[in-house]
Amino acid sequence: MLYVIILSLLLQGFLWVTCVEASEADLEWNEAVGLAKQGENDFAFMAFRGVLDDCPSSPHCLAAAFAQGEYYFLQNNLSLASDEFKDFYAKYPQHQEALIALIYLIKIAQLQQHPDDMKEYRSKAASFRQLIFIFNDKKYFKFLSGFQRKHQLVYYINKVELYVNGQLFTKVSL
Amino acid sequence: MLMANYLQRFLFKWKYTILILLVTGAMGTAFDFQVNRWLTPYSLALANAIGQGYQTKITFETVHYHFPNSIILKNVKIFSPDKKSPMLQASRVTVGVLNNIAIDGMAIDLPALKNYWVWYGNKIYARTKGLPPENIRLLVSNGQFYPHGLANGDPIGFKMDLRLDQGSFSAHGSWGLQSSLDLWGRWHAHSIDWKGFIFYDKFYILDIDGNLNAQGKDIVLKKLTFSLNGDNVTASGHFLRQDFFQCEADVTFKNTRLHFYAHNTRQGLVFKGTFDLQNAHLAFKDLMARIINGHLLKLRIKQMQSNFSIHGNEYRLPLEDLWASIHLVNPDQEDIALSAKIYAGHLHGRIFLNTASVPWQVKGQGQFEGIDMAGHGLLSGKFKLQAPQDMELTGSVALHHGNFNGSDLQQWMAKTLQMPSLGHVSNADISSRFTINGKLKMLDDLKLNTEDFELSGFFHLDADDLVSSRNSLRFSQKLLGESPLGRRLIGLVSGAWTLPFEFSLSGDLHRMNFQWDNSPLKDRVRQHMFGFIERMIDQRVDAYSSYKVTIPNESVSPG
Repeated sequence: MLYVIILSLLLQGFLWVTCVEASEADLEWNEAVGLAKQGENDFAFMAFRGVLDDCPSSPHCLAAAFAQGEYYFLQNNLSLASDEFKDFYAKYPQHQEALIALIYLIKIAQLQQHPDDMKEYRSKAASFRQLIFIFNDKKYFKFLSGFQRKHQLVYYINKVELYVNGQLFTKVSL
Repeated sequence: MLMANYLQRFLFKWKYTILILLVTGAMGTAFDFQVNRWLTPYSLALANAIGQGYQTKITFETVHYHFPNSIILKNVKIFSPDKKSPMLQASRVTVGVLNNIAIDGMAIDLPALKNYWVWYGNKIYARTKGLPPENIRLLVSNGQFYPHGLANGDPIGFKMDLRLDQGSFSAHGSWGLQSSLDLWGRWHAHSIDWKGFIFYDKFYILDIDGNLNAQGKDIVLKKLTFSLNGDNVTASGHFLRQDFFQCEADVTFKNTRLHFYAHNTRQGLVFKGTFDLQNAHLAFKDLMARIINGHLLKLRIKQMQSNFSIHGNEYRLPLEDLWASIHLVNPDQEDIALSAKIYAGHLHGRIFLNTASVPWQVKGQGQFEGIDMAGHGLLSGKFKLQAPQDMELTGSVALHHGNFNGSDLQQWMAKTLQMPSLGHVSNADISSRFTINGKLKMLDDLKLNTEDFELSGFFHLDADDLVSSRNSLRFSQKLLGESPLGRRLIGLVSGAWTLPFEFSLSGDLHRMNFQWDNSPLKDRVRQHMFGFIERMIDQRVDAYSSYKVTIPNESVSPG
């Protein structure tokens, strides 16, 4: 009986800790998103960093990590943005958000006039996902970033287009 | 009285002088007569003996002893072994007792002399190697040689002055309008050192510095350096004089390296070896070369294996019976016409080579036809290349009864369409136009027919190995029935196998994207489906097309 009590207490403690962490992550995430909505991008960036540091297993980490690269990109700090998106691609290679990061990297390489990098990222984008179109001729993927920008990937047989807030950001031939 | 005495003494003196002169003259005439009388038969006998000993015939019109120390032969002719035409002739040969030989009006039939030397050179060398006196001078004036034989073409004028003088030698010669040679050096025991320079048409060979060691039949070229139109050449080698001349040598020139073995045959020197230049390695066998008119190098190579790379792609080309005419336009530019057998077909074209700077610039174009693709068909087409920048290859391919096993496209189709038979296709006829332009590879008007399916379309690969392709495919009823998808199709559309299946491919060669294009077959299928079923199928297919699994270490490296 004693063992059962101890075990249930331990289990309760474990659940309590994760619940606390989950709620803390939600709070931090909500705070960061709120700051982003208010246009306080610098504070929002720090808050997203906090989500990554304080709650590394939170489901918000993917978007928070993406927001790191997005912040530097919006700041026009292309070099740091590139580093962050490379980290993101390395960390989440099997998520479609990684393709969005790759497209950002292509755009950055294009702005920095680094044709070799463009070629490398284009090649990675082309082999990122195998697409099969039977009855439809395009596929979609939507992602709302930490800075509340609506990202939409539109896949075709021979190209991928990325729209940000409804505007064509860039397209990549496959 | 005094006057009378003087006259008497004077006349007496003159009388004796004249007498002495007359006697001397008579003795000289008698000696000259006797020598000339003896000289003619002796010279004839000697000429006959030499002629017999060396399979030739030597004739002369007259031979005269010329007081005090020379013998003059006129219209001397040395015939080739067939004794029909002279290979060497001279209008006047003066042999002095002080080892001076002067030849005037010399004419040489070069091909006949070379042919003779191939067969009897070693014998002459063996007989005469102990003979050369320590001092000798050979002077040839008003000489002419006929590069293509006495009966063919104009002669080229030349003159020569060769001196051997107690361990040293010098040679000066000139031929044609712009060619000359100056060599000098010393020999000691078995070692010979020489230096010099040569001007030959548009080529100038300067700073010649050579050393060789000749012991018995072994000749070792320890070093030979010179500059050819400003480019340094180094060579070393090993020569062996047996029944036939043999040598093995290494030559480096303009960032190229030539290693060859050569031996003499009835037809001339035959080479085999390797040639390394830039991104190419050539291994050749049975190569023969000759220079025509000083600016046309003719090569015949029985076998050549060439391995080269363009844009990082490796190519391997086995050639047989290669004929090349290299027109030496100027020292840095070679215009090459070539013809060769390749995989039982034929290749011919022109290549323009500019060696002025590294890497060498190569431009070429030509045609190939009837190339056997391992017994499954013939390949013919055109090529155009500009290396190192660009290479374009266009042509057509027609293969018959071909077997295709496990190619990327096949594996993909077999897996996607769930038709395992597509992975191994036999007895296929394929025809297509092809273009390889740099890294672009294109197949157009592609037609592939087998018993089980017919495919037509195009397939392009860009510089990054990304695919662009549209095709029309018609399956046999049997093959369609092999796949669950096909069986479903047959159930939906009667005679589905008679309608073409139109599709596009795109993206990474190893993970191609696929799209079923709009077509009558697709329309007929859609007539039997509700929209939600189409969406359900698409969702299932999406789940099937998995994401690429990227190992973080292979992914983009941070920072």
